[in-house]
Amino acid sequence: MDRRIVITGMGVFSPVGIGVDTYWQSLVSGTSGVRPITRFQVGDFALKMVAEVPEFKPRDYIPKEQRKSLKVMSWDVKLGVAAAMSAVEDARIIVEGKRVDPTRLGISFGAGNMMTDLDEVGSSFAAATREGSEVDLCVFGPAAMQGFFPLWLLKYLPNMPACHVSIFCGAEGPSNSVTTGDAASLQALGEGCRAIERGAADVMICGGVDAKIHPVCLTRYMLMGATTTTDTKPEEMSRPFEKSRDGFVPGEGAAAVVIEEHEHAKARGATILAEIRGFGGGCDAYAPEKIEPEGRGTRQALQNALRDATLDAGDVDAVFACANGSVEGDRAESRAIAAVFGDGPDAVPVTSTRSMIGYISAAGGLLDVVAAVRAIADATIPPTINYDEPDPECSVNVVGNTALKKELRNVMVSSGGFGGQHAAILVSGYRE
Amino acid sequence: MTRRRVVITGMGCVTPVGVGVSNLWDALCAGRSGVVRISVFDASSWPTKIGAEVRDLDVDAERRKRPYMSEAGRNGVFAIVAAEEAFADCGLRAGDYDPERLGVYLGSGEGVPDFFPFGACISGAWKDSVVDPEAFLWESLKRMNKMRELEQEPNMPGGHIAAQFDARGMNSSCLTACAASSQAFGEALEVVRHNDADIMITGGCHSMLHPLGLTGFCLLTALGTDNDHPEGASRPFDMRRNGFILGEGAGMLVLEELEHARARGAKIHAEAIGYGSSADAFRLTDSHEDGRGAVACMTYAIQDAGIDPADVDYINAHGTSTKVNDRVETLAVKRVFGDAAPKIPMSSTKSMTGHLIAAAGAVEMITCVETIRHNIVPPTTNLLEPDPECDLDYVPNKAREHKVDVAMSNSFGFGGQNISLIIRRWTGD
Repeated sequence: MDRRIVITGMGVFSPVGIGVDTYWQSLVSGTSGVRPITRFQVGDFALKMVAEVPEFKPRDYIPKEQRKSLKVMSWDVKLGVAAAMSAVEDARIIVEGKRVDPTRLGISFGAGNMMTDLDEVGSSFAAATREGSEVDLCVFGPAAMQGFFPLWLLKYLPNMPACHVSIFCGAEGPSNSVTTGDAASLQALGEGCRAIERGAADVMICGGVDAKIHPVCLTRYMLMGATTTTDTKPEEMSRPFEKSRDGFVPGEGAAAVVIEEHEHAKARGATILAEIRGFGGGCDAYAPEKIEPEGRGTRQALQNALRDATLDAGDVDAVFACANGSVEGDRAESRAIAAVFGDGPDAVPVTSTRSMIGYISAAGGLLDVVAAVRAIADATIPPTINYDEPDPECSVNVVGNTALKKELRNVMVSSGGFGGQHAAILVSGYRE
Repeated sequence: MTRRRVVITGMGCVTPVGVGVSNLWDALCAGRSGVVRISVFDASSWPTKIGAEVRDLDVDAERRKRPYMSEAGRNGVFAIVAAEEAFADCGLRAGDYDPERLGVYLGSGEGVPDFFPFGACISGAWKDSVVDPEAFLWESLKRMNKMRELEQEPNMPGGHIAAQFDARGMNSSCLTACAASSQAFGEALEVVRHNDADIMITGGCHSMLHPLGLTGFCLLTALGTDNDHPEGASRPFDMRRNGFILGEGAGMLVLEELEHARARGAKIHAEAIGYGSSADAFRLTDSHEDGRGAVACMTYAIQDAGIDPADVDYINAHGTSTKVNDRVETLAVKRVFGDAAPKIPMSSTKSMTGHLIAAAGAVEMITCVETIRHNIVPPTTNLLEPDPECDLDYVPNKAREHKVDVAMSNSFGFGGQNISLIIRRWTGD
């Protein structure tokens, strides 16, 4: 890092709780967020256990005069906006009279494709389809022009979390929306750091959101054969690094942090929660729909983050992995972590919160950054639950089943996977 | 600490007016339009029936040549074809470079929906005026194709390009609507400047020429509607302009650290010197009346480049042909450039290529490089009735010889994310 960058606010909407404190308590106590799906009826469909975010009122997180915007926000956007606005509130950057310079406030948000609400498009397709034949475009065009609501397209664009938040906060600085799948939110945070490092902003709101508990996405997961089919209790289904694992549990969530140039944070009397010391990226450069067995993209990202932080592997006291229960994916990540940090019982402790919150692609990395900040503050590494029998091919030192008390100076967060993109962020305890 | 300098050493493109950089440039100089009656699907029942289609590429044949992306959408095929041209142009061969120092940053649009199977799933699950989710799940499990679904993810083209060229460094993608590939170029520039990579393949790809994309834009009343005069339908800065023309394509560039390029004797097309990013922070659907965000990003790019506004010899405008954009962009350019504004040729090549959305900025950056290489500025075509509120030099209708050492490209995204980029002639020092 060319300039010191600190975290001054955080917000979380997770399957194990809304708000940083609830989320953290759940993680430390090993609480699973996996339950039978409630958002829609799936009947006998094989995939029915998911990790949903509890109900909340999105309007509570949106400035009063802007609440009409809710009509053009998909569920994904609402989650992302709520997390970002919670972090903004926590950081007190738009408090009346103490507002940070809007031209020096930017946004970097990780998101992905957002799926249309099926009912919104249903009548148009139904009108244009006769039994046994495909959609008649000559009927569909006029039907859709009548049936879709005028701002339909806007509701689902991946850049909308960033756009809404920029409007709500008056953030006129750099604005980006990163779409690298599982790496997206860490990459968004890393690129946000770079914007501050090069002097393009003093404060950046960095977030990530992913909400794929949607019929289209569930089908995709089934087609990929990527989700677990274990017939156990829901809370035991997500089993990263464990021998009997056979796939992930889909989750959803959003997290955001406010990051700030160190002197700027001090000058305005901000509460400094942690420091970000390093960011690195890497790519498998392998068929993007397959898993590269050695985890070379992860290794590359981890090494680059260490280099950026000018730290050695030995300086890192814990690793938050993105292992989600995928047989091959967890092995690849374990190999990459082992290559950089070593393995066996004396090696750096590794944990995966995915055992509790499920697989939350574009938000997972940032959910872990928030956890890492609290882990450092409380000197506690949350456990990887359901870790009954180690997989000998995942030889890293997993923090199984119960939280581990340990002084933590530097924590590495790793996230990436599908598509081949990987990112890593090094979070450190703050010292003057 | 001196900042690392970054140069452009490779370019490639797939556009509605031509495939390959030389075809693009010839078409732009000749003022040739790529706007046609939409043929990739039957668009005859939409209010807008025209678009800027890629016609000079046999997309199916390109898929057959590359079995690893046999189910890729048009966007993905455009991306790989453009990237192959750009990488060949930069002259690097496997073994010449450290794969861990080669990265990718794309402004990548969402992929093309698998429309007919999707529609059949919905229709099959439509009961009592709602889609029955359970019925949809069973229908979709039967009808959806795994790879065609996966290829719709915006990070797939970047994954394919990385695999193709063994690019193991930083790999990112952004989707900031119409600004995406300009933003990708700017961020890729910063990746190299920051020493996170020595070489970046950057650019964008997108195709929204599908029934859902066309519906979305028609509903926003954003599109031009001159269905009977496709080639005249995109007319930025003209009094009669009535919306943009939806296009598709890809543009790719290779950015390289200067010393790295020099050491291998690379052909240097231009130097990338300025990147500015801002947000309107105003309204979701309208740009700020005074062009606040546009002024900011141009100003930041000029500061970043360390030049005076008057040093800019050519501006490739965002120039979408919508009422508001062209007026506000004109206003913003006047505010940034002051007295120099009327003397700087500023054309919108979207008058010919249409609006390639996430891919637009990259193709326009390639255009800027070509203006420097040829000292010719391409025209804004279809500019027949000047708008009194648009009173700059838009290079109406005919390409013009003009010395260009410094060129700026503007891209303003829907939702208020704005990017300006500046490049300079490479003179060997």
